[in-house]
This record gives sequence, C-alpha cells and structure tokens, in this order.
Amino acid sequence: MQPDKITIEQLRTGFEKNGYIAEDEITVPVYLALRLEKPILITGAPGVGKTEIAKVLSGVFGTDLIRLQCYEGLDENKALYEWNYQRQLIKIQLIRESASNDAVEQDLFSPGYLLERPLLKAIQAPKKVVLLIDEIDKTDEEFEAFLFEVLSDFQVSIPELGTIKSRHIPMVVLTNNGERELSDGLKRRCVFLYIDFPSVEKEIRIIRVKVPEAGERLAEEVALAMSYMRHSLDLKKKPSISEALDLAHALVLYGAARLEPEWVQKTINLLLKDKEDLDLFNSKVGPAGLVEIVRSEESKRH
Amino acid sequence: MQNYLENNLARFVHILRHLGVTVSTGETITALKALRLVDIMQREQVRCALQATLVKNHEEAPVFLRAFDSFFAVPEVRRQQQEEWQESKDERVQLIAEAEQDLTYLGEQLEISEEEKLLYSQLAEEEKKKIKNYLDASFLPEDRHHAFKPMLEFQVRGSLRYWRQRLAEEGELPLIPGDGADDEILAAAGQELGNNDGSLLYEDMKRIGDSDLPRVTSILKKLSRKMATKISRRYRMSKKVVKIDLRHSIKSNIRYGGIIFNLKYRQKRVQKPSILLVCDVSGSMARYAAFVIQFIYGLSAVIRHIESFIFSEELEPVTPYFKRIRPFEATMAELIGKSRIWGKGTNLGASLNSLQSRFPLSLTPHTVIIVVSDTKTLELERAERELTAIKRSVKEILWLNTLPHDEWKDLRSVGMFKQYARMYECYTLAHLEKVLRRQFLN
Repeated sequence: MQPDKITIEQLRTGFEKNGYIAEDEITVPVYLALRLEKPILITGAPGVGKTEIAKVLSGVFGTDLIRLQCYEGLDENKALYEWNYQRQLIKIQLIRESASNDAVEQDLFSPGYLLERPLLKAIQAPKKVVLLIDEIDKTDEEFEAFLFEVLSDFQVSIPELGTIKSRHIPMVVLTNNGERELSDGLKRRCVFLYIDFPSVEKEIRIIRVKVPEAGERLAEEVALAMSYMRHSLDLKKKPSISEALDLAHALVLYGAARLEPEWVQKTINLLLKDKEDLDLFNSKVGPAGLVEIVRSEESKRH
Repeated sequence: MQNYLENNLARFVHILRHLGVTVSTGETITALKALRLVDIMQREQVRCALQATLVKNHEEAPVFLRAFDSFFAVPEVRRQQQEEWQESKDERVQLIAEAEQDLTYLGEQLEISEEEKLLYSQLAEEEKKKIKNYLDASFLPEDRHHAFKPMLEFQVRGSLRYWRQRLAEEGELPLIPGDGADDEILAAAGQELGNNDGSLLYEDMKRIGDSDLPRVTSILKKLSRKMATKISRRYRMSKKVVKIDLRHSIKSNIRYGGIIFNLKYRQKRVQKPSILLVCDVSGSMARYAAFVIQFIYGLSAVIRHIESFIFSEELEPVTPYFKRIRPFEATMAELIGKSRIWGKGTNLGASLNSLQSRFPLSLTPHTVIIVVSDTKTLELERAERELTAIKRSVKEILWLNTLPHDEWKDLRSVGMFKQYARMYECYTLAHLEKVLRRQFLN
C-alpha cells in the first residue's frame, strides 16, 4: 500500500488491524497529511494516543519508525548529524606523522566519521519511513525554527559533504503536549489534529480491542468510571487511555468480573498519581461512591 | 458558477478571519487541495478536512465549528439566517433615523457617530427627553450658531459616553442590532458564539455571577497550573549548548594527557521574576482584584517572590494572608473580612506614596510591579508624581486596565499613566491569561 495513494477507508481498516480505533475525526487529518505529503501535528492531553499514531502508521505501511524524542536543549547535533569528534581525534593521534595534511582532512570528514541522527536517518532512508518527532513543545524556539526549515525542503546541507536531499519524503508525525505555544510558522506547515479523550462508546471499543479478556461488562464499567473521573472531578492529571487499559489489565489479573469498591481501592494508584488528586478522589467520591455512580450510569444505558 | 469550490472556500476563510481565526493564504490553498481529496458529499469529511488544514489552535475549534455550521447550513436555516440578518439591518437603520430626527440643533443634524446615535435611540425615554430638552433650550442668534453647534455636539457626546459607561457597569448595555456583521453568516456565527455557555473566559470578570464562581475558580486553577509548568521550564537552568567552557574542558580532560576529548559547555542561568502586585479593591474593582490575585498566586511556585498589596483610599499589605497553606477561597474570605479598605473610594497617589515610604525594600531593580486598576482615582497629578518616582526604582510596571480599550481615549488618567507603565486591556480571564503569558513566556 502506497501512503500517497491510500484511501480513507483503507487507512481506517489499516488502523483497526493495528489495534487503533479511529473515526473520521482522526483518519481524515492523517489521510490528508499522507496524501498531501505534509507533516501532521498532533496535540492533546498526555496518554490519548498521539505517539501511537506514528507506531500504527509504521505498522500499516510496514516501514521503519524513526523517533526523535525532544527535550529542552536538543540541538541540531543531536537531531541531524554530528561529526564523531572522539574518533577523529584518535585517528589524528594515530596518523600524526605518516600522512599528508590534505589526505587526513579529506578522510576525517568522510561519511565514515558522520554520526547520523534521526532527521538525517529519515532523509537518507532507502524507503519511505515514519519520522516521529515526539513532544516538540519541549524544545527551544531556535530548534523549532531549524526544524521547520528541514521539514519544508526535506534536504540538509553538510558543509563538508554537500547537500543531501531526501529520496522519499518521510511521513512526519509531530506530537505536542501543549506545554509551550508553538510558532505559527511550524503550525502553518502542518496538518493539525487534536485528539480529545474518547467517548464512553469509543473507550469501550478500545478496551475490548486491547484487553479482550476484560469482557463487555467490565470494559463498559471501566470506561464509565474513566468518563466520570475525567469530566466530573477537577483532577490535576486526568487518567489517560493507557491508564484505563492498565486498570482493565489489572482487574483481569485480579480475576474481577465487575468493578467493585475493593478493586477500585486496590487499583486507584494506577489512575491517580498525584497525592492531591488521590485526596480529592477520596474526599469527593471514594471507591464505593465511584462504583455506585458507574452502576447508575450503566443502568441508564441499558 | 465557475470556480464554485474556490469561491465558497474563500468566503468561508473570510468569515473565519472575521471571527478572529488567523488563516494564511498557504493554508487556504492546502484546504482547497484537501477538499479535492475527500468526498465532498460527506459533511463530516469536509468538516474534518477544513478543520485540520485551517484551524491550528484547539481553542479556536468552537469558533470554527460555529462558522462551519452557519456556512454549511441547510437551505431552510440559511433562509432564516438571511431573514434575521435583514431584520436586524432594518432595525439599525430605523434606530439611526429616529436618533437623527431627535438630535438636531435649529433644524440641523448634530454630527455624531452612528454608534452614538444607536446608543441614544436605545436609552430610556426619560433620558432621551432630557437630552432633547437640552437641545431645544439651546439657541443663539443665527450668526453665532455655527460656532455654538460643535459645543453642543461635544456636550451630547459627553452625555452619551456617560450613559455608555454607566450601562456597561450595570451590565445593561443594549445589544446594537446589525453590529459589526456585514454578512448574515457572520452575524449568525457571532450570535451563536455570544450565546455559548463556555464563554466565561471571555466574560467581563465583574459580570461573572456568584453561581459561576466555582467554575471560574476551576478555570483559574487550570490556567495558572498550565502556565506555571511552562514558566518553570522557561526559567530552569537551560541545557542549551551555547559556548565551550574552556577552563572546565581542560580540567576534565587532564586524564587524556591534555587532549581535549570531551568538550564542556557553558550553561545559561535565567532568573525567575519577582512580582509586586498592587490591586485596586475600590467598589466595582474588587471582583477583578480577587481574580487577579488568585491567578498570580497560582504561579507562586514558579515565581521567585510575590508580594501583594490592595488599595482603595490607602494601601494595605496582604502578603501574610497567603503564606499559610489553605484553600484560596478561605484566604480570600478572611482577607475581605479583615480588610478596612475593601470596596471604598480610590486614591492611587496616597497609596503609592505609602508603598514607597513604608515598603521601600520591596522596590528593587528586579521587581515587576503589576497594577490592577481602571486608572480612575482622586488626586490624579499626585498619582502621576508617585508613579514617576516608583518607575525609577523597579524593573518595570505592568498595568492591567480593567476598562475596555475603546474607552481609554476618553480618560485623561489613562494617557497620563501609560507613560510610566506597559498598559494592557484586562477585563476578562482570557485577557489576564494572555497578558501574563506575554510577560513571562515571550
């Protein structure tokens, strides 16, 4: 399957085969990014499945995933390429008196001494790869400016080697947790996708796909509990989809058929990882209260 | 019609821009390409395609959705939109005509703006009568009336300005029909946005009712928490490689016989800001002050030092109230209960004087002063003098003005204080967030 010839339906099926439940809201922007050969910028709360999209894309097209994890202080050397300084030094020490200066210099700046970092790797890849630039908001503005230059031309200039042009434009996925406002320039170059927490129905489907042992009833109760905690409690960190899956897994391991106060008590630390959030949960609703709410919502749905 | 898709898209983008969404030409072209790739008969696909290519901030999504629903409405709804818009336009014309009939001097129309005419038409009959009687009673001999007319116009404008401010303060400023929208879709989308329940962020803080306070507290908590995370990253010691630290490099490479094998870099250290908050708590200003104080204290973990004062007729330090760890609501309740000046008249000059004489150590070259006030005060000149003196001893003064920007030109105090402070319009939570973001993150 070719990314630039794919249809929305094929993409949706591909996502489903790779265990990612997605509706038009997600598939259309991803499809457009692939067809228009533009980077896709995905934002949303942590744990809603932003990074997963890149992994799924590499699965759908059977290609490599090259990941650039961003952090404060990340610069071109770590993202694009770097000369292997230590190796060059050793080489100089070894051939100090035996070779001519020109020959040494030419040799020292040959591809053998080049350390390829993720961006260069993606550009030089022999086939179309998925390039995941994770948590772009953690980098500095200067790096962001550099990045959108690379992303517009998909070519880099290495003074000692010349310009390297990409053979295949990679499928670029940028994720953003919203910690910093990204520049308009970068946003303009991308197709934009915001992923929200899923609806109860969608979360039930996700749990059923990822933790099939949980069964229909337990999946529904977990999804209802998640929905209540995300929307009705003023939590510092709302439980993510991955944490909902952790909860479902844990309940299966405990052999629970339904959500009971006892299981909530034992597993609440999988969902709430902040003392203030735990205190808020216990004072406002508590395990028994949560189960009661879930049961009442459940009866309304059936 | 030729280029049907292109024309429609251009019009839709025009509407989005009018509603405040920034869309570039490049993005419009991408959107057009995107529309050619999706099934144009599938409404949901078209919406997703336009949203993904035109809207790059999640906060703008509600505006986009309203505009989309209004623009791509079914024919019946479109017809209704058109009718409502036409009615509104007609009403506007009628109101202006009514005002023009009343506001005359010796049979000649007064030269005042359309906005002022509309405001006049919507005043209570009694108030209109007062203005009209005043005009009827004013006349001079014909040879001098040309010189007298501008004075009358000035008086009428002043009176209407007073009514606009008063009605705005009471939250009863009438909606102006047909205002701003030159298009029925724009009008419909704008109206829908105005009715949107999620607009607390854009509501004038003093008009937020008590019943909405828990929601506001929650919004403020979220905003300040989010901003605190961002600020903490900004002011952490930067790991960004700037310059080689030669001394450190030589020292750490002695073990390699002096060959500089591992390079060491200098790191940049950034200082956290230090804030001195001065909030006007006289009369209607008190509500603004409470919200600003709450927001700023939400940032306390990432700001080096916050010192806060409230003022009306005089200055009162309130920092100690916030040193104890307990819910913000309880702290504010105690503060309001114990304060002797909460809700009284305003004397900024006396308060600033007191700040300099009683708390001189708080005014350092690292201090950023944030003043929350509508600039209205007794002893204007004295306030200006004190502000000049303070400006010399601090890093900068930010002024959060709770009056809408278009009212600034009518107040002398604004012009005076603007010379000494960076003044920002700040009467909604969205303004507050924007100003503080600009201050600490840009």
